[in-house]
Amino acid sequence: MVIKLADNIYSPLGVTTHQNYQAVIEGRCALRQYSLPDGSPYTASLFPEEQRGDGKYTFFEQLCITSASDAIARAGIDPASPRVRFFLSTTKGNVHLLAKCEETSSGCFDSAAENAERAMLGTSASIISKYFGNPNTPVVVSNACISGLSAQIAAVRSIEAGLCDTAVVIGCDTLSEFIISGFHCLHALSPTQCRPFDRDRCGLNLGEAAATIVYGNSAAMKPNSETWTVQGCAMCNDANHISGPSRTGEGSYRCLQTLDIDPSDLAFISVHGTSTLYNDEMESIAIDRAGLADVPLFSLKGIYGHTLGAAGVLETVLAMQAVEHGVVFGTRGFENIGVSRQVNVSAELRATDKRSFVKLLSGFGGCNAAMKFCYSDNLNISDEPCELEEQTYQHTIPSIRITPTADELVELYRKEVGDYPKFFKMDPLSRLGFIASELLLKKAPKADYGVLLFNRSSSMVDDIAFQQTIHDRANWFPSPALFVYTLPNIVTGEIAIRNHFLTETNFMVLDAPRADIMAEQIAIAAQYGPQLSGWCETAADGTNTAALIAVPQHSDKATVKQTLSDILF
Amino acid sequence: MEQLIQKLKQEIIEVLNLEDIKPDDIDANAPLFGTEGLGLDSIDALELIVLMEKNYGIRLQDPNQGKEIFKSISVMADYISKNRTK
Repeated sequence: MVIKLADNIYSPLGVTTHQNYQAVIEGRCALRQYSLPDGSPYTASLFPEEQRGDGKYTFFEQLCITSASDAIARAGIDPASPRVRFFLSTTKGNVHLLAKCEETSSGCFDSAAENAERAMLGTSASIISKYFGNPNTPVVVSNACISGLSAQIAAVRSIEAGLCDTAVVIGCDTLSEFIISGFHCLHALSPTQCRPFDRDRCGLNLGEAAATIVYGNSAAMKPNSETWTVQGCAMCNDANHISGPSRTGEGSYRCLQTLDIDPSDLAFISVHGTSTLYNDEMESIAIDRAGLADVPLFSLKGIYGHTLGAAGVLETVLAMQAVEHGVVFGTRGFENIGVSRQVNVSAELRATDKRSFVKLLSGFGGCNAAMKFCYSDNLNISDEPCELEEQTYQHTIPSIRITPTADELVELYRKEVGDYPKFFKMDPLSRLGFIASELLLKKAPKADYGVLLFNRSSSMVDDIAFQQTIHDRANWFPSPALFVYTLPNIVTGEIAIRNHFLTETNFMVLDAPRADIMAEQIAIAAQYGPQLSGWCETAADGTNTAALIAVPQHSDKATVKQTLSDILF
Repeated sequence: MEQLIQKLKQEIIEVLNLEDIKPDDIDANAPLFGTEGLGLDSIDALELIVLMEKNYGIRLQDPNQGKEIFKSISVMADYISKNRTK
């Protein structure tokens, strides 16, 4: 059983969880209107200008460190212990530094090369975990808008598998012109304060924040006190479209089904509720289909905006606060129901005496996630160990390694695939992962594979390409297609769509190809289903490496590691 | 108009990475979206909005307008010729 030890929220509304809870209860928000270079207005929740800025640590890293420091202190753990692991949930990390890569002496670092390296998610995560003296390689979970739940799920499962006693999950994104112009060109931004689930909703607000949850195993439980336990984790891809949610809410519905919920137990569902037309409609369908239409729900986006990589962590922490205080938050901005299903949403604060809740999220790449939490006393907690198999089975795991140039990828497509013109619309990372998965699946047993990919450069090639579309003020035309692909997990969605995999999809970024860390996370994911997994890297210098494996369910860590080691280098 | 239609076909192929399609393969009156014709999707529609602004100085505030304008290349060319600012 995994329990929550401590948490923190660091947002424009406060530097502790308590301050943030107070702000929500009092109906405060930091949403203000700003304008883009082309004059378009947008509304966002930003930290004040004087607080921003990069020093030895970038602003993004400062937020992560400050938030994690508070949570770690409250948890009373030693972050330098090898039994502690760090998980960082972020979509874009230090991507703002790319704007400074073309100049040699601006930004917080001396050279363009240093700025570019620091924009690497694994590099930034290592700097954060080293600040705390932690000896382990941090895992960055970059799974679009569900990152915050995907990271928590990876952390919880790592504790359950005995990989660590304690996991620190930090969720954070800061907003730069890169992200804001991207959502703008997708026509996803509301110029005014957003209105989740309302009939007049017209898009989302962005927000920035950092939030941290420290999880531990039940050995850390204090006797005779109430404790938050994780009761269930679910991820499921829609296998429908890389940016549009499923019209039937398929992935979210299946997540809710997986959690095995008794509606009468639930205080509420903390939904994604981005206030876009399609998201809120999709969620209402998923919730109704799951038989949960009567359960109260709320969205926090009308207060914090969409905090991207922080959202899953921040919204989980606040939901815990709500249960502890016996309330269901109101949905700020909501007035008249504007979704097709009669879900139980209200602008007003309501009371509850129930002790469980569900956190629901969905994101680009077709991914969806849900977690169920319960606040209870220790008497009800039973321990069911589910450690990773240490024994080695005598089975072989199908694998493939390719290192094609961009032209060779097109040749491979024509020779080996040929019937999927969508290939030509894909970015370099998706083309690479797609072709490698096609080749691997030809020789692997047929199965509904989950897709868990790793790399070092995230979506750097696309990040640089998108940055160029907004670099020149006189020629400022951010590209929507490029922006969608600046999420590295889109490749997992492309593979899921192609193969109709309604399964777990996730993307993790490391500072280097590491067979040990990858094998751990793959073996954990394989406990829940077979995995199409491995390394998928398109580096900024144009080199491509895909080293993928088709892992049967319940594969052991040692065999996965051996197979990976043979093809990684 | 014929010239504009040809130019648009070329631009669309380029911006939407329609690798295996040549301008002559595109029927100017066929639907751009849906299962017939080019089978474009919602992200393609957003790219076409950028194309209209970048190349012809036409700014669509409401993406829903695109539904009418992007019916076919001919409809698009007609709208551009009437509204272009560059």
